[in-house]
Amino acid sequence: MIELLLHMFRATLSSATPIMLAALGGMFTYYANIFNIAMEGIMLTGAFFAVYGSYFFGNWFLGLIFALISGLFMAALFALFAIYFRCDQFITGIGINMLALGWTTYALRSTFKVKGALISPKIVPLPKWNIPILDRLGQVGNIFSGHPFLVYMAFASALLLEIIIFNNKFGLHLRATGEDQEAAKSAGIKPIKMKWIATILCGLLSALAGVYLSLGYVTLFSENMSNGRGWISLAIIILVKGRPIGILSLSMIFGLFESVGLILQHYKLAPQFASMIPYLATLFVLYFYGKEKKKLQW
Amino acid sequence: MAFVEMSKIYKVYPPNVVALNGVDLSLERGEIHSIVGENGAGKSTLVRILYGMIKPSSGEIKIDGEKVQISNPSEAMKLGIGMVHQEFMLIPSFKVFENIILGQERSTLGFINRKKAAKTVQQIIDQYGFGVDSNTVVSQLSVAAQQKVEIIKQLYKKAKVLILDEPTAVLTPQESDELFEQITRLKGQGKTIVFISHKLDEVLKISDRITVLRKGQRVTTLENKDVNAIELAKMMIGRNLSQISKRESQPGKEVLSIKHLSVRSNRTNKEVLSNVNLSVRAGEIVGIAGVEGNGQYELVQSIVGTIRPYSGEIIVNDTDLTQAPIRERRKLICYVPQDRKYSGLALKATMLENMIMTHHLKDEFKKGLLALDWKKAYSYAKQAAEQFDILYRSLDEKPEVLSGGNQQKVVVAREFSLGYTLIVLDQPTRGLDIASTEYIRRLILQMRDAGKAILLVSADLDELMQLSDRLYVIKDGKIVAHIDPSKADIHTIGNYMLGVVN
Repeated sequence: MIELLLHMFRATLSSATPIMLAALGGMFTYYANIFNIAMEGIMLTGAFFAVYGSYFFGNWFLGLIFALISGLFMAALFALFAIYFRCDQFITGIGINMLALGWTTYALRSTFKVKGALISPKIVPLPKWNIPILDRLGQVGNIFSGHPFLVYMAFASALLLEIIIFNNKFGLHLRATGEDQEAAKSAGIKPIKMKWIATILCGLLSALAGVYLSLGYVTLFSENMSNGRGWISLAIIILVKGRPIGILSLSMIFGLFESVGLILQHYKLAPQFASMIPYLATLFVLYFYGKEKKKLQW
Repeated sequence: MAFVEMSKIYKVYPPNVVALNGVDLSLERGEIHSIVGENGAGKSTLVRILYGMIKPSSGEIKIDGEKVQISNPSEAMKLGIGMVHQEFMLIPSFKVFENIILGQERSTLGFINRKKAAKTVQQIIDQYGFGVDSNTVVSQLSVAAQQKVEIIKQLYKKAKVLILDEPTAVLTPQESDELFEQITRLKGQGKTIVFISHKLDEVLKISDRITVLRKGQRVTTLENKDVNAIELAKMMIGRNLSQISKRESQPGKEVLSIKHLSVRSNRTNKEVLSNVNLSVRAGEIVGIAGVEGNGQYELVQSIVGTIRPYSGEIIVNDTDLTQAPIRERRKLICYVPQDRKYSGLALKATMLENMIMTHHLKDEFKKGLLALDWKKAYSYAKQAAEQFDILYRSLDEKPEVLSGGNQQKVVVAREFSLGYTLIVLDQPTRGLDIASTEYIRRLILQMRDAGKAILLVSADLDELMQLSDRLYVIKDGKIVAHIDPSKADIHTIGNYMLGVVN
């Protein structure tokens, strides 16, 4: 039993990481008042390119670089339409997500000549970091040690961003832009520039979420492997009103649900039901959030 | 030599709108210089050019005798020119000091020493005696305090010229007085204040010099002595302003009766209106005075029916409307809402459609079971537009192209021609120029003399004093005074509004 719990907590950290990274990315656009739903698509593209780079160059780092470039490109595409051309942000986001799904599926089939998933020993995964202090803590330490470095990076960035958003010039300018563009402009801030920066940062972090999915969480690429995580990250951002510390805690909760779902699969629960759990959890959380919010309105 | 010298400023909006036609303006150090004029006279355009928000078509600006190009607000700020807009440029969720340092932060690696920043800002606040706490969140401040924050922001940026665009429009008389004291203190410290207003008594009270604009041209710049409000008004509008005179009211039977009305906020469950009792009789205008946000809006909305009262009764013409649906109420009430652009008009619908809204429920405009008699609607709308002096090109035009005054006339024309005995007016002249204001006030008096019962909610105390036969003062959702405006002065009412007396 203890064994199982330890395994579950370890899996929780792992499941929470991609959601957290994407949500932290979406946090930037949330504060810049951009309605950005493209995390899902950017994550998926990132996952594909991470595998692509890693497979052809035999190097996880090049996979990471490829993914970041794809994130940059997708974010720029979003910004071009949603910010520069001022198209509807929601429609643009849907477009990006559909493009990502269609294109990665096509690219998987045409580049690797496989359908469904690419599993290959040529894909080099992210290295795992053993944290010496944690190693000495025995079983509990095992929960935290030996994860790919992106796990530690996600947690560290959540804490760092909490400080940056509220105490740093950049954070102040970002929030001012989102809250009142005209007022920000009158203070000499360039709102359009801030919005571009926010979108690009979102692209990079969402791509990292993708890298973690395909080179850390598992070592493969499968069609639609982001599987709704981008949407969950969006729900989290809205629920915690963008606060990075809130994103950290809620991602953990969703991570827990996901790992519970995975474990239940071993206990003869239909996998379809197991994989439903995170989404049911989303609805569940939204229900209580909505109920609270309704109370606050006239 | 003048400190700031704007000369021969032209601003033309193609093809043929001349907003400014060769205007000169000179500002001295340490003076309060007012710019007065009707809406559309070019006051805002002129100061926006000085602040770099609008590019002039031609003309030059000199500061200390040196020619300067001001192509955006940050260049204006570098030259020591600051502006406080009518709409505040504040971030509501930020603290006072965060708002003030925004864009001017001193930081190491981007990180701000918040304690130090708050202290520096507090020093400036104390130096000029503004009495604001630099650690308060702006959304929790009153409008007057937010305005102070705007001024402090300019001082933090070391502004030497401070442009105030209609600063008193949002203030109570007491708050205005306080603002004038502060402005005078700033003048004492060598700052130049540009004061824009169309309240002439204020202008006469504080200015050293006054520039009058009319239709994009400078009429004159004069020293503030030996002029009075009537002469100034004449220069502004180019003709004599006729005084609105008012007959004694002859109230008839009670039309609106509100008894023990209480309304609770769903959010906080606090009472936003508590035990309000008031009545309006036929042939009288009853004013509601109060600092905005003290329950006026909730009062009007409960009468119109968008807010459900918690307890109490609303009776119109002996019909109990407390729980009646909005459509039932609108068969008894003419209603001019406070925001013509959002609730008064459908800006994207045509004039004709706007004019017949509400009327379309009447049987006389029905054709068959479901259709409207458009022909009849058209002739009614045309006649009403003429009767109410609306300037428009076609009834197919959208109201968004009309001036504010004409938009309001559309609302007023529609509502007044409904012909019901109760008229509820919420800020009927807000943001209108002198001529339209005068026109609408006259209409209100005409309606009164025709035997209508009128409830008038207004933030403009002058308006309330001028029109009301009786006046209630509302504070924190309670009626705190019932006043005969012919026997009270504006400061007494102001004291009730602020809760200084009970």
